[in-house]
Amino acid sequence: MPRPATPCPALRIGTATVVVLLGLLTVPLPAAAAPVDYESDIKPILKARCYACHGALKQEGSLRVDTARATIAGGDSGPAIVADDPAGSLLLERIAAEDEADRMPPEGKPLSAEQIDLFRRWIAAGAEAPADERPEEDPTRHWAFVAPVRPAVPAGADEGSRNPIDAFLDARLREQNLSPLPRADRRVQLRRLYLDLTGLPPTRQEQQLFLDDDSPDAWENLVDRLLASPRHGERWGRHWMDVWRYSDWYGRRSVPDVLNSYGQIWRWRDWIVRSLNEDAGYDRMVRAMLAADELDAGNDEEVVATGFIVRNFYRWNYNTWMKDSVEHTGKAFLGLTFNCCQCHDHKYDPIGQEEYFAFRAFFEPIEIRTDRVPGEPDPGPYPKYDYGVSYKPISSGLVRIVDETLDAETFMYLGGEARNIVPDKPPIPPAAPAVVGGDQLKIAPVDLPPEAWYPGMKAFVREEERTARQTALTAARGELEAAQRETQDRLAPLEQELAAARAAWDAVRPADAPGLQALKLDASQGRRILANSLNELPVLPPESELSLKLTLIDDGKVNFQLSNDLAGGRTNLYVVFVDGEIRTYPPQSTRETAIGRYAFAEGQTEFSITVRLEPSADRGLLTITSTSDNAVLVDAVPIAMNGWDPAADPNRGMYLDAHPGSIARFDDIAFRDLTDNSELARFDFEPATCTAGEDVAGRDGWSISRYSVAPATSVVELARPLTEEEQQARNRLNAAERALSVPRTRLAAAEQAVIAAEADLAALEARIAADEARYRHESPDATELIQTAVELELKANLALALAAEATARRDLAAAQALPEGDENRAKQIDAAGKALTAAGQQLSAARTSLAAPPDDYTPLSPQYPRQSTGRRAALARWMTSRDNPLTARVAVNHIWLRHFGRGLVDTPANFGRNGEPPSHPELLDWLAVELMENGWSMKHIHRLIVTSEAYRRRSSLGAATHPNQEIDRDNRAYWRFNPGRMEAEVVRDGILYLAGSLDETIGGHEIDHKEGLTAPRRSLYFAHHGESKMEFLELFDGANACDCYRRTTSVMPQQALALSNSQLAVAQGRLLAGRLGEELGEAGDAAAFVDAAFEQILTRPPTHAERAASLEFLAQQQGLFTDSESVPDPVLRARENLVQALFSHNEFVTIR
Amino acid sequence: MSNRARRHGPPCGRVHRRAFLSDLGMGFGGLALGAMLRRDGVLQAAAPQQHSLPTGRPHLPPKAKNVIWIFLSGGYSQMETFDPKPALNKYAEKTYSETEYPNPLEDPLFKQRSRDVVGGDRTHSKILPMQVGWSKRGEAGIGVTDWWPHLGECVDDMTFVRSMYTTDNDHNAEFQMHNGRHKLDEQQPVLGSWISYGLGSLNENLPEFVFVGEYTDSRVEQNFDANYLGPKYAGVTLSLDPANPLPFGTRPEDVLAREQANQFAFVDRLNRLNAIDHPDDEPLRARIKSYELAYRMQMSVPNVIDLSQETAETHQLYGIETGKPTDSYGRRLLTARRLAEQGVRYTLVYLSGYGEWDSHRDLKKNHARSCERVDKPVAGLLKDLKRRGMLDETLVVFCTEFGRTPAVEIRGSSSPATGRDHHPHGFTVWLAGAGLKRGYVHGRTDELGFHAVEDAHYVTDLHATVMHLMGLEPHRLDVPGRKRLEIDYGTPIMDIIA
Repeated sequence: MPRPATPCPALRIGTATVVVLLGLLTVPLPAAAAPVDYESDIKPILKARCYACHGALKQEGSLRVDTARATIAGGDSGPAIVADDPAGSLLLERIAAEDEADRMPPEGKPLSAEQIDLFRRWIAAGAEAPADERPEEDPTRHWAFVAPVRPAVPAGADEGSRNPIDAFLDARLREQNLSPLPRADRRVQLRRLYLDLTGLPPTRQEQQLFLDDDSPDAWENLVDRLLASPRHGERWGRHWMDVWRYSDWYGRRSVPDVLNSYGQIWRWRDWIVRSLNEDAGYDRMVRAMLAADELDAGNDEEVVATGFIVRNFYRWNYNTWMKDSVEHTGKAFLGLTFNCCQCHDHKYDPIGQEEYFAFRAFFEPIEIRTDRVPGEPDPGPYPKYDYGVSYKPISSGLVRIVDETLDAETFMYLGGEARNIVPDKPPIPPAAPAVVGGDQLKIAPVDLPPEAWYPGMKAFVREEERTARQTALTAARGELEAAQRETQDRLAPLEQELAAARAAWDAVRPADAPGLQALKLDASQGRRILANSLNELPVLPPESELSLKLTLIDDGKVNFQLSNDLAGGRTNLYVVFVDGEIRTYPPQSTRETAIGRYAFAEGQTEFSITVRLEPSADRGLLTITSTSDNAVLVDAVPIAMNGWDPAADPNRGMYLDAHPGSIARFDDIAFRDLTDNSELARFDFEPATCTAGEDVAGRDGWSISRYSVAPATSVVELARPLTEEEQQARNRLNAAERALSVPRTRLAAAEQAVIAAEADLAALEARIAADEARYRHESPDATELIQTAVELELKANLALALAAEATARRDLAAAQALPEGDENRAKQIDAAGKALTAAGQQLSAARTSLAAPPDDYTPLSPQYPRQSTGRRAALARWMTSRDNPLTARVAVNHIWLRHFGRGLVDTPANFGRNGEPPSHPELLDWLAVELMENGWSMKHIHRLIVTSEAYRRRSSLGAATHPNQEIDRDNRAYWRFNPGRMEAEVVRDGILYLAGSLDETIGGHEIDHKEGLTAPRRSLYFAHHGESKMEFLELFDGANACDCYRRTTSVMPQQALALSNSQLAVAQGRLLAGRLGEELGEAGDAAAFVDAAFEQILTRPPTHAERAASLEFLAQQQGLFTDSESVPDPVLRARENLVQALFSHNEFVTIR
Repeated sequence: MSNRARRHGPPCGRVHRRAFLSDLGMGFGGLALGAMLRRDGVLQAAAPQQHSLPTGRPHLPPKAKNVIWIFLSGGYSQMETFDPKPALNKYAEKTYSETEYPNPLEDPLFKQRSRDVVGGDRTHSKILPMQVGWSKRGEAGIGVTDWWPHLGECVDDMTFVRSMYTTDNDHNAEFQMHNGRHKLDEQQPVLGSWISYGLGSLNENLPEFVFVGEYTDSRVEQNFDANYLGPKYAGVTLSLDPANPLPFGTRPEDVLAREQANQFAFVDRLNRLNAIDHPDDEPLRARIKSYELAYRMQMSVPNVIDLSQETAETHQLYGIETGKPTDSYGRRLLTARRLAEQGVRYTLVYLSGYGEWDSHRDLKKNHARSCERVDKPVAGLLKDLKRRGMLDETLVVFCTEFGRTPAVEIRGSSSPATGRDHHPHGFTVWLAGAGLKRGYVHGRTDELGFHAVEDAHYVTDLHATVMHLMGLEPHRLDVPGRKRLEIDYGTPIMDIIA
């Protein structure tokens, strides 16, 4: 008997093992003397622990133990047992083996001593077994693996008029001598039907409508009306959302970071509701969910159905996505527990581990895709996984599946762990399990229409793009006219004033001398980082020097850096003054290291810094002197250059950086060639280039880095105070310059904006024309049109960049013209400065591409493969073919389960050999065929079920016991209707509906949990996901978003608290009390109110005793408030209490 | 079962839940409450035919009655807490391969035990020396770092397991610590839910499984999620805010106490009237019962969280003092003691913010601060339990999701490397109280604190130990149709049991 090596602990997690059945552990041990019975003592153990490998499914070592005869006959190692001879029986030896490597069964806990003893005694007593013992049935002949054939409807008393469901059920009732209960009271039936088909209880008015209808087909008419109600799709949509694992995105909502499912998946939810309301056909829905992108490729209304697969998405691990897709496609549609076969061959069903991977192969090529939809912003392309990056949910457009890797291969791995791929095993082609005929699928690639693989071809995309540009153009033209009109008469006087101001300043200005002005970075609030790309600086000579002067005004953290990537914020050479310490990067490192100290408090505030640059050694020699006391703080210390090289790259250069809390002055920043002592570049902030009082951003190559934080500033200031006369002249000049620059830059920006908008529109038209020619018509003109589109797009890009730059300059001018004291001034200058930096980069990129044009223009959207593999289409077709033995059965069972509270098969997600057999196999098959032969219409099946007598029966015995219970306590034969409890959503929606508050808007973006008690929308529209739950729904057993093939029902005290104290129940109870009072009007005495409240909430009038109790309660509560000031209307208050109490009544949440 | 029960008052607060219910007459002749609860459970388990709800009786003789499970989120460093490693100081700044020990990255255990959820390699660089001093404490002479001045006084009552490992190197390990499953596998009910499911409460007026703590990140809810056992067995969040201690547990502001009491009584009356028409309806009986419980729960919870009933000396013992860093955690732990005293089976105390201990950088500063918040209150709890005689029947577990790397973590380039990365391969938890050896160390990591090399335990072994001490045999709690793997059951760490 071969067995695998002991798996390591990590492997064991993924390894499903046979679970010891609870029943076995609790089987009472027979007294020592009692004889061992093979059928009751031995066979159950063999079945639970041994059949999987030694039965009909498999015969490891040629041994099978599913009959005593076969066990005695044995396998490759000879007889497994020798009657009367326990010591000589190999089976006993193996189950009792001490050594784990020899012991059977190889997985799970060893058999207990008591169990082993049973075997010993059974063998010792002769290993007796019934002579007619039959081996396990051939697993491939398991009922669920054979396609259903419509069975004949059993004959009964009143042929023809009878519902076939009743014919099947009644036959069984007769067989078991069970007498069915009579029809329930009409009101009970009515409430049952309303809740079942729409998820909402009937109001008094709705009740009356039905109760007044005494036509013979009143029930049928009501059924039709409710099935036609849009609420039906919402009700059953929620059921199917359970089965199909609907989940909104989750992962790390607090970040936010989408890890599971995806934003906008609610469109799939709305598709479910819509499709059910349209009775789209179960087959069509299944096909759409698996492969709408292949089967109905151009139809965005349908492709959102692939949300079924999107839902399984897990960003951190692709294998998990695949695993969940296999497991839940199998469980939801086929009732097959594929998940077992990820690690090993199925223990019960004839499905091999390799077939698991074959099934996975259907999904292997997929990827998420986000497309725009009319009237919403473009969600942008789907971002591929990048470790450590967070992804916000998209909030517009649609999400769907696309086959992206057309040649994706699936490799088999072991132990459920993707890293254990079986070496040298060829990839496994897509197939469904052979046992249900899925291994012969024809898979052919699907050619997609252009709109499907290139959404930019869609008419609405073009139209929206065109409209946006036309709107921009109109706006630009309007602004140009306005600018011209408004500046026309203002320019001349401003120019005159500027000339006069300049003359006045020239008359008094001090002679240009070095040291007049310096740059001050003031980060007392915020942070300011200036970047300069040193455009004039040539390739560094072998020996050069960088020098600068630094004055610390407020000590904090101030640094200068040389950078090879200004946009990316990279640091190559680094010198920082921080809290008395001078730090830098040692050569060839980026590890911040202290190399000196300065005593700020003792007056060391001004520094002369030189770095002798030695590019060949990739280092600099740093010297820092404190100029106030001539102390040398750092003396020719080698520091890192890290390959810094300024040559001719606008993305390389220098940063000056003041961290929050720091103020520093920089001056005389110079690069010098030491071979001839010539100056290579110099920034002294003197009047020739800089204006005192102005922020340097946008001038002389200085820009604000994106890491800056407003309201810090970088203002050029005078090194010495001006005389009053000088100051006045200077102020006048500054004011004049600012005043003139406002209209001038506005005009320039407006002119440039019109040019850009025209160019952009022209480029768009050219791109559309080229798209049409090449993709739709495959026309020979395409080449030329492409060429034109490329040229026009480049032109447009340049124009747009120029317009952006002009706009930034305009904004900067406007900001600088604000009064100095304006609190927004610094912030606006900061923003405009950054915009200018960005525009500069845009411009430089536009010029670069103009110099080396690309081959193609930018498409109007991402483009995807022009074919899809057709794998999922083949799967979907097979799944919904007439020959598939499982799909229709699983579907009708789910439907039945939700009408009757219990499935015909009690394990709705497992139709395999380890699942429960159907209670009514013929009925199940009849319904499955009926579904298929009626266009898979679910409404047809609903109608059949709810018009059956079985559905309309009483649920209540009206007594403590009933004779039927002796025969069929669990009501497997449906002699009565099963009472149930409202699902969580029905409790919440029902309260809102009866109070008249329900907002019946259908569909849309998911609503936050937090609004669950206040927003009056139906519960299915609230966020539902695996990360957290809406507390109110959770208390009433709301669906587990990750696994809910059927709901559970619990009774717990917190439910009572929720119905008594929740904002929802209290507020709605009060509303309803008021509303009922209004409806009753003058005639509404207390008794009338009690009746109305009972009818509205419980769908029935009160009994005499209930009415009496209620009146007593009203009086009692009223009495509490007779002298109360806070409660002006004690009568109403008491009625509110009554309504709230009825919402807490067991009958409210119970479906009789 | 204990002296406490006799000492503290009426037996109804002490008898076992299910026994309690069946003893309580409800006015329905011949009604078997056991059957009613079974039915209740049957409905939840959704597989009526073969399964019956646990009886609430332990499977084995229990040694503990209550559990206080203290969880520190983010992963505390084993080396800087309860598993000091002097070798780190000796080999500071060296790589693993430059030490005298085998390189732990090349040990087969490295790949065997962990399973990445997230792609991306984590670098192991140079060894970071211990960021704090340590000394041997107690008569047992167990090494503990200097960040635990108060807990150090308690080591003779503590049992350390220094050889835990988990399999996820990211923070899903937190949920794994509670439900035993790696993120990539199907999630399971958490330990507290199993215990609540298996044993029920000792006090019907309180929830069976309580969560005490605050969180802003909703993922924390996974730590008290009952999954397929259903919401009844999920942890109930108890807020220490007296205005709203229990979800929906406070009557609306403008509703009078009397008004609501009448309303509860009225609902009860209507339901009982209704029951006459439906004598066969077991869920109805369960609902009548649950209404009574709800009302009593609403009344009794504010009393439990009212810490003003405790002496000033007790407050001081737990570090409860406005403005002190220990104030808030002291309150949580004192509440936990009061809950245990009142018979709550399982209290999960969240003694950090989400991810608080995750010291990728500035470990020294961050751990020192976090330890200061935790040290005195936890020591206070142990001392308080001991002096009240409760330590003999209360089990305290102190744990986190994983440890931290012996090597320094390099992240980004500009900041100095001062932290440690996630480390599933070896970490320390400790337990104290009922049924355990005291002043005892079990298991060992290697000299660098990397791998659990001696008596290594996956997290479910810790669960199994708790279950065992509570008298539960996990296999016997299985729910049909819900498959647990062998590893989910774990194996009790018998060596630490007295």
